[in-house]
Amino acid sequence: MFNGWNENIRAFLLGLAFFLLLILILIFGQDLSSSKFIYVDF
Amino acid sequence: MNPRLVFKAALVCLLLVLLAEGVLTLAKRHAPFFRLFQNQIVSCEILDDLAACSLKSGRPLIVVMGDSVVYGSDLHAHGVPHWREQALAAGLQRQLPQATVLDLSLDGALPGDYLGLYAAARRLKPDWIIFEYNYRMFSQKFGSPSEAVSRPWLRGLMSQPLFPALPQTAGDKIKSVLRKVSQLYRYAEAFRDAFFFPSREEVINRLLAQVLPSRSLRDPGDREMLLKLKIKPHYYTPLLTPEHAGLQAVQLLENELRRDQQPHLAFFTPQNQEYITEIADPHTWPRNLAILDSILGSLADQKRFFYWNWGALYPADAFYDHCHLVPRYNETFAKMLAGIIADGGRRDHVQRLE
Repeated sequence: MFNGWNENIRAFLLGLAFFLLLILILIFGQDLSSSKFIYVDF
Repeated sequence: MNPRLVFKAALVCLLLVLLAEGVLTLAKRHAPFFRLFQNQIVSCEILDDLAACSLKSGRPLIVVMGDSVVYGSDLHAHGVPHWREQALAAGLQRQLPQATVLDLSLDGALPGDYLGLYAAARRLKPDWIIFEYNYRMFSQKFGSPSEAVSRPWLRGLMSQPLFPALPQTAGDKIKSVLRKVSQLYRYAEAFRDAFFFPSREEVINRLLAQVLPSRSLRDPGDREMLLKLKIKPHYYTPLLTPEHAGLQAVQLLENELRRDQQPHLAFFTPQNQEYITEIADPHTWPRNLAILDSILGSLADQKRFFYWNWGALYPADAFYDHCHLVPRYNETFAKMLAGIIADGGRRDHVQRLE
């Protein structure tokens, strides 16, 4: 399916995917198990 | 996978990170954009922006720090429309239109948090700072140094590390560096807060309502039961000792406030006495209150640094629960606070309502 694609476009899409993954990791990837990281629900 | 492709992708990713950093750095100069997040994103930079706004206006600045009592999340939980407008700081702003009221309240705030917030807010040279204290802050649950701060990022704001003996993990150090150098990181943390807005409990409620639509936590009986389960440990707590992290944070904070000659008013927040008799430990509740009064009272000179215990100020119908005020009483309370602030901290405005 990707055969016809230019390598640069594929690299860009892969880079974009890395970037979005990085953002997701930054937002949700840590401390979520902590019972009181964000709001101590009071 | 082709290594050249991966290398190029990594380069693209790096460029996107740099681009995001650049855009956020430029955007942060426009404070109104960030006010969308209210107090979700309290960072030194944004406080600087707010300071610039307040200095430009030349109006007196009043900073308010407190927990949910000030923040007003219970107003939201009870379906009050425009609930942030009904919260205490907004009421104070209505009463003092000639001043700028900066609301730095946080759900579940602890005295340790105030140290971080004050380290950031002191640059604004506020004319007054109001600190709200609640019984929960001094319960056993928050007694150890590791529990002294409700949000880890607040430790990053502090002028000196709170409880230096507390070991800092490598992860903490990396986070603290990232917070300093990366806008993207700070905003990722803030979005995480925004995702759980206004509270983690609310998100759990929403998820539960999808799974168990007939028995969500919205049921008033269930909510009441859960609330009691949640707050009872805070009110059924052992006798306070000087080692309690909350008390130590209060003392450190007062030392900093005195060093800066910063006028401030600290108060123990009104409590629903009827509710408290049901849930509080009858032996430690009055004794702990006396300990708090003696410590906070001894740190106040009642000239520039004030402390008032307003635990028994309002009748039971002023509250939703054990300590959160209904909108009408928020307004009454704001009016009283405004009167005291306008009068330089004098207590004549305190009105006990039965």
